[in-house]
Amino acid sequence: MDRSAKHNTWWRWLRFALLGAGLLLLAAVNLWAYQGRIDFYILGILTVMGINIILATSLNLINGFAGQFAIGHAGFMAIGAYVSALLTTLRSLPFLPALIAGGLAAALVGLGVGIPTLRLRGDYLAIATLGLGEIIRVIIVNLPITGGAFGFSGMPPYTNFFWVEGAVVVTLLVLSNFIRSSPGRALLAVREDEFAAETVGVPTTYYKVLAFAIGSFFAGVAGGLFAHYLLFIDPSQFGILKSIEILMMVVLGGLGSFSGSVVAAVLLTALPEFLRGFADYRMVIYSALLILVMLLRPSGLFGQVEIWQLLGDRTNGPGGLPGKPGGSGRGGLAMPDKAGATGSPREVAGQW
Amino acid sequence: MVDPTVPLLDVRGLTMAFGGLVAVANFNLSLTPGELVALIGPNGAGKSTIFNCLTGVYRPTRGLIRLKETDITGWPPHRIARAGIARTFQNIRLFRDLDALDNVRIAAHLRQKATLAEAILRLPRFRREEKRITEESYELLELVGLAHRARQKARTLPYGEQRRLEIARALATRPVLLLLDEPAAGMNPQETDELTQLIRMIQEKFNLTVILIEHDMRLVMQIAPRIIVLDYGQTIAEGSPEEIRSNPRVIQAYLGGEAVV
Repeated sequence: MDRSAKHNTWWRWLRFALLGAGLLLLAAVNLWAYQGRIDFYILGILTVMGINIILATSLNLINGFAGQFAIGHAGFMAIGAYVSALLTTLRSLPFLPALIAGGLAAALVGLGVGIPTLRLRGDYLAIATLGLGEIIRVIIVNLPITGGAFGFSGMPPYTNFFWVEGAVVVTLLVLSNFIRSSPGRALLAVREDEFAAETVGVPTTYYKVLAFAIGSFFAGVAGGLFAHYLLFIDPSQFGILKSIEILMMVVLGGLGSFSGSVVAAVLLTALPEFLRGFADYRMVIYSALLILVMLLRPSGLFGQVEIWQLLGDRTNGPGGLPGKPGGSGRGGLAMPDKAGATGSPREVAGQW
Repeated sequence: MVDPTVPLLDVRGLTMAFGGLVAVANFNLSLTPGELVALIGPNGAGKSTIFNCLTGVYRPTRGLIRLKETDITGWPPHRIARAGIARTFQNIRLFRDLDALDNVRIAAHLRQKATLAEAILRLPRFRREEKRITEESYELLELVGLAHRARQKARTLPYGEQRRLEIARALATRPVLLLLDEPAAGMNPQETDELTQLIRMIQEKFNLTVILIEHDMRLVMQIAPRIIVLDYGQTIAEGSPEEIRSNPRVIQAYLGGEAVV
């Protein structure tokens, strides 16, 4: 007993220190960015990172938490990008309402297509949503107002590091609060066993569509940030490749872990930049690393575990979780746990 | 409050056909509040099909299902759960990757009134309800003897405990009618005895009406004042344990031989 108490205080201090260090770093980066002491190139990477974090976590809500394997996320990003860009450019709307309008437009389309397509399961849903992403792209190419394949430009350069940072914080807060609430648990029930969920009173279709709409909303917001950062958008930026890129972040980080998506988004945004020195071999190394991670950790870097669980959040019930904080069978971060015995990575690999 | 003359559950002429196969034919059942009825019969007799009709998993081909005088025939499962019918499954269907507490809390979810916005903003009503649901769920876990397992994933629990967790989850919906589908399957005699105690206790405590599907005759004879026997979708006998035990058609159905109709 005494030993575990000591262990607890130790953890508490480590947590405290980590949190402190994180906040300090964040404050420093903000200050430097404000004073203009971070060069444009780095600031640009950080901005793209933030946009990717929003995209990956919002897709993870649909794929990892609700368990609906949808892969047309770039389509919703495109809707947000175009709607907000058109509003700021042609209607001179301020940035915030334009961003929200872009998100709402994406959510509305998500709602409209989610109701019929979410009846499909597994591979069928994946293909339907992939097709959907393409349909959105083709519609944008053919609409007169979007500039078609030539692209659209002329929007004010609203997006900066602070906007993206704010959007990331809001996204993470909303998503993690959602998932740690009664409706969020209903969503997990849908993923675990749709049939059983229905029989305990969870309207499964409603929750699937809800997750899809919320995920689409944030994809739309990310699109708006993207449009006002790059200042030039064309439909080819929102194709299948972009959808796959977002999906890769989700799978690499771990289906069902927001922390995983954040880390994967950071890594997969930074990695190509670090590999610039290798010029021709860049994409080869990038791909090889991905394959390696998937071979070694098929459940993704974080499995279904969140960083606060790894750091021992025991606020969720009396008595704490005896040795369980990392306890996901799909693999906590290399943490030995009892559950791991029944779901080794090998075994999980079979499920894929 | 409870009018004993009004049946809690009233099933009339329930028929379920899959193509040409009639799984359940013209099944009738009337339950008074607080009653416990056992459904027995050989494998494939249509027992689980009846449960699936009652919980809305199947839409019956013909017939009428009324719960407290409300016609619930053809309702979707989640609505029926809200109306007050809960069940367990023959092959355990827990939310395997979630812990025991969350399994129960999810079932308590349908009594939460806070909106999604309140949940995301962590407003007072949400916090209150969350606290209440968590406390209630712990109580239910305690009741089935699983409080110490609250934070363990459902799939890591031993088999008998998974069965009890399913019962706790069903109770969390605050049902008036509980359907237990072979709760003693795979249990040893001692576990079965504990289960018998548990069923008696929850029936009394929550004033529950129970339908029990079970193959363990010892359990059935001990606990059920009234037994219905099904064979090939037909009701072949109904009565007290003594009557059932001596009924020639029941003996025939169980021991095989030519069916005499």
